Amino acid sequence: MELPVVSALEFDQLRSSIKNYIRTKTDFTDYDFEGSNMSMLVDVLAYNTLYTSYNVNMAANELNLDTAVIRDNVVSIAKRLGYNPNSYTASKISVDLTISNTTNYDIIKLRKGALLSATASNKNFTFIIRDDLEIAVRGRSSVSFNDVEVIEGSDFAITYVVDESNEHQRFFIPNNFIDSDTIRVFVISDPTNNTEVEYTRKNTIVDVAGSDEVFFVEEVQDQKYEIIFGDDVIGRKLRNGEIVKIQYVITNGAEANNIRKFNFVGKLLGAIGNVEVSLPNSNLSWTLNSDYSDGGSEFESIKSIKYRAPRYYASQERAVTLSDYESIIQQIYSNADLVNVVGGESLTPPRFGKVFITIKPIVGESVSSIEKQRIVRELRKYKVGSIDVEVLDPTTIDVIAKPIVLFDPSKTRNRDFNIVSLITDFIKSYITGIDFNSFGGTYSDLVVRCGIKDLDNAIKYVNVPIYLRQLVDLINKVETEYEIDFYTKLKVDSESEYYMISDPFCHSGISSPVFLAAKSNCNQDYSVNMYTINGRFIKTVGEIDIETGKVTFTIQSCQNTPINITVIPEILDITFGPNIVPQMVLLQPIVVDSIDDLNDRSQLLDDDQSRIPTEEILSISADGDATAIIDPTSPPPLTVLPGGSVVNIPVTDTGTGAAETGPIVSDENNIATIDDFTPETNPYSCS
Amino acid sequence: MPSPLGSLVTRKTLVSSDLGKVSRSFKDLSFNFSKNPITNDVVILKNEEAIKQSVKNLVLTKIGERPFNPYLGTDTTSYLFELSSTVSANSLIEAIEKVLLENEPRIRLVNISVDVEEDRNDYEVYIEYDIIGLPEEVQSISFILVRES
Repeated sequence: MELPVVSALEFDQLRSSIKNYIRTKTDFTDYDFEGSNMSMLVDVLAYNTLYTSYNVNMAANELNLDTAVIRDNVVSIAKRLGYNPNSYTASKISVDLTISNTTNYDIIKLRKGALLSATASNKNFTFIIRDDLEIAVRGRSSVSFNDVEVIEGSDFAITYVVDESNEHQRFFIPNNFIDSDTIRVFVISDPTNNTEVEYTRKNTIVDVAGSDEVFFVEEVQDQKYEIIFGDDVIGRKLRNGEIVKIQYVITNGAEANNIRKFNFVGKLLGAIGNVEVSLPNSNLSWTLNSDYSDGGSEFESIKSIKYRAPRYYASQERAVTLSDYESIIQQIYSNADLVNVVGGESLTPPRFGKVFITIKPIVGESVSSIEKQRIVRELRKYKVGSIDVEVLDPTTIDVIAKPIVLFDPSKTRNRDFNIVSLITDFIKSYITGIDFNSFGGTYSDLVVRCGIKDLDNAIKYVNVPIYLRQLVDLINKVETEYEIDFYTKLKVDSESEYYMISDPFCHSGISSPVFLAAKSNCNQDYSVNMYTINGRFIKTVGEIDIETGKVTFTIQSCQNTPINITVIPEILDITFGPNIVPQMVLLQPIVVDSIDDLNDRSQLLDDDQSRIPTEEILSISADGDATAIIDPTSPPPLTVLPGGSVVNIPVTDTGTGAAETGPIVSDENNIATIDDFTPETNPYSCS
Repeated sequence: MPSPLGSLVTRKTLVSSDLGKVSRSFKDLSFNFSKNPITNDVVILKNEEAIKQSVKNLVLTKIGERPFNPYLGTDTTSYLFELSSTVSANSLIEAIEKVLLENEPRIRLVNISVDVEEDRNDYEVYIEYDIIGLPEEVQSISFILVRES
């Protein structure tokens, strides 16, 4: 006898399974007819079984980290691994404030609350300090508050009264957008005197005694947070009637990163005895300690929790192996997109006892100096004592692509602008993929071309010419050897005038802006030459290894701002170096529905489309060295050589027909008589 | 060797007078779940009674009512909210005919008639059919469709 299979997840399978079971009985026969009562009963049974199976299946999925899809369940499983997912985090910036004309006051105070305000993306942000700051004047005419950390957001508080009769009492924070690192808990044990005792936040139970005034923070349902107190075994238990005051900051997260311009909106007070007076802002001068605000981030995603929780568990809260560092960095700096950790012993030459951590942030170009210091500080709790940690910025190489696409409009409803949109979406998806968007990522021309080709069956031809660009930080007034690596063979016979070119920059001793370049085609060599902005050769400053893509040059710049070095790759499938994060810049694609739309057919049909936009690069403004004595733009003076002679520069008279009257050169081949002579048609040929 | 169908098939050797087909017996559950006084088991509907119940079920099932079978049934109740006319009565006949032809292979329809009771706002439906393979007389079923207030 066949028993019904109730594990199926299709209604028809379940229904036929129940029917097969009834078929083995003689009691009823009408199950095959849709109108029969038995058929209706079978439908109800199958329907019921289907949803039971479905619910069991989904419930089982939600029990495992790999298959759970509901955030509350993912968070719950992660908690069992000791991992607390990151909340929103507030953007921060450090500021120094100096107040002058202070001799008349005993104490200068800075009230807690809003200190700086800023506007970004048509939205206003307020940066606050969470405590009053005070400094004693002691007769000085000016006083300073140094390294004041201001955080973006607003301070809020919620109060609970402990009720022991309610065994289900819980202490929630009723907002999703809090920075959980800003949570502070104060407990008033005796309401008559309002003395607040601040509790300490703990993440583990290590070294927590039964009387310690500590609290734990956990994410609970609906992305809200709960404060957990002790039980007199691990941490002090709350007593009936005690008042719990929870302070927290609600923030905008990553939206407030990268802000560079602020206004002071703080409240400055001068105190004489018990009398406080407001001080005018004219007494205040302040400076930012970093260029921009940084450190803000949004909720940790489900995908990220699934990735990080088991790795964090594996690291056991100790930074010993390189992967330990990677998982701990993700925990203490939630704005990290990519993390690369290199042990100093693997470098050439080795640097024992050092760990180099390169972080690419989700928002922003690099991690600010204040955040780097904080990361190093936080890592002290986890790392082995003798290890020195250094946080570096990632090196990026821009892959600049301009796709060219030919499509047949009779085979698709998409128009050219639709295809441009599809290409843009595809590239966005490609550059967030793990193959490309990682340290040592890979750019594959084949994948990109095939991906674009597959966007629409009407696309007949795809070409994606690219060039590469890397930023070099120049050191001002110091002669320095720079070495940059493009990790691919370089193309030297391009249609551009130069196969390597830099942005214009200021060089010591030269009054006009200069640029570095290497000539392509017939004039090619493997030297890096310096030219004035109008193309006059100055000197050779370095060399290029075209096989490996390494460019080295020695210059003494007179600017701090970085410059780009641009090259064309010969091989279009590029695996970048271990410390390199590739980035893609998509130029406006050329999408045509007819080859006749192009002015020059070779523009489309020639695979060799890669060109450096030389004119565009050289039009970037730069300064010359204002202190230079020699102007290299004028012809060099003739100098007396050691033998006492003077170099004579022959002058050719081109305007008087001198060539006609000159000596006749005997040409044995007499090229004028060869009828079938065909001149070169390729102007780039060097033959 | 036992039959793979066990003892399920107890065919009646009745020969239809016009089609030459043989019908088997039909046994269906009764939804009033009353007790058979002799066997103490639930009452079973057999043959023409089972088929009559099936016809009634098909006509009175609303479209979309059956799980995972959204096209089974008729829109009979929706006609009650239209103006009573011969047009709506004809539409009702067509709907009944369609659902029975598609889902009840045991019968051959003889006649469907709908009496429009304009004063009472209801339809009286008569369905006459033969049971294929049974030499019984023409079966009929009638019911009144009334708009529920």
